[in-house]
Amino acid sequence: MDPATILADVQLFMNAASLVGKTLAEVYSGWTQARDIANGTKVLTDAERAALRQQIADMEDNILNTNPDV
Amino acid sequence: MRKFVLIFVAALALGGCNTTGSNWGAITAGVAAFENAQVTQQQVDVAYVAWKSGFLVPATAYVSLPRCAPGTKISFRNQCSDPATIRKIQAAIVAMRANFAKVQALLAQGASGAGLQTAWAAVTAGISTYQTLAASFT
Repeated sequence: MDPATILADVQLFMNAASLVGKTLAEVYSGWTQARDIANGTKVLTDAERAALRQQIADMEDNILNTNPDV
Repeated sequence: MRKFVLIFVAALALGGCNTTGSNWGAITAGVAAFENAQVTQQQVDVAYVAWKSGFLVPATAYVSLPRCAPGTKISFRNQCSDPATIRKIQAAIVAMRANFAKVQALLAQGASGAGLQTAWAAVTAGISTYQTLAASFT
């Protein structure tokens, strides 16, 4: 395998790891938040609840406004 | 790993507030508690977090990938998203928006009983269903 191919593979790996790593960190953060709410350690204030729903609405809108074919 | 996390978070949402650790016993107990559970704002909050972290976060990452060329699918060397899967994700979002809105409206009205339980069942069933979809693109 020539150096250019190895380098390209390393770049592919780094890109994939970056994407997966970021997503896993966000999922884990959500898991800890859900656990804390469920066991009563954390009670969302009205403002926090509104902010959470706004985040969700923004994420949903972003996906809904995506053209699947482009 | 992500599937386990998603299942656990969904179980928290399903079962209410008696989960203190990430073990299968707690998950099972949480799911079993669903039938007799009162629907509370606390449970709905957990469900919202489960929906966001377990579905929307990976879905956002997936949708952001370039589209797969016809006849190809996502792989290590081909980081891409499938148009048909994106359409399924969008349909899931539309459905879950309606499910959450119904529960939240009933809670705001101070409702309880069968109507609320039915609406809540749709939320929890949706989370369970869409974890399968999420697993297909994560």
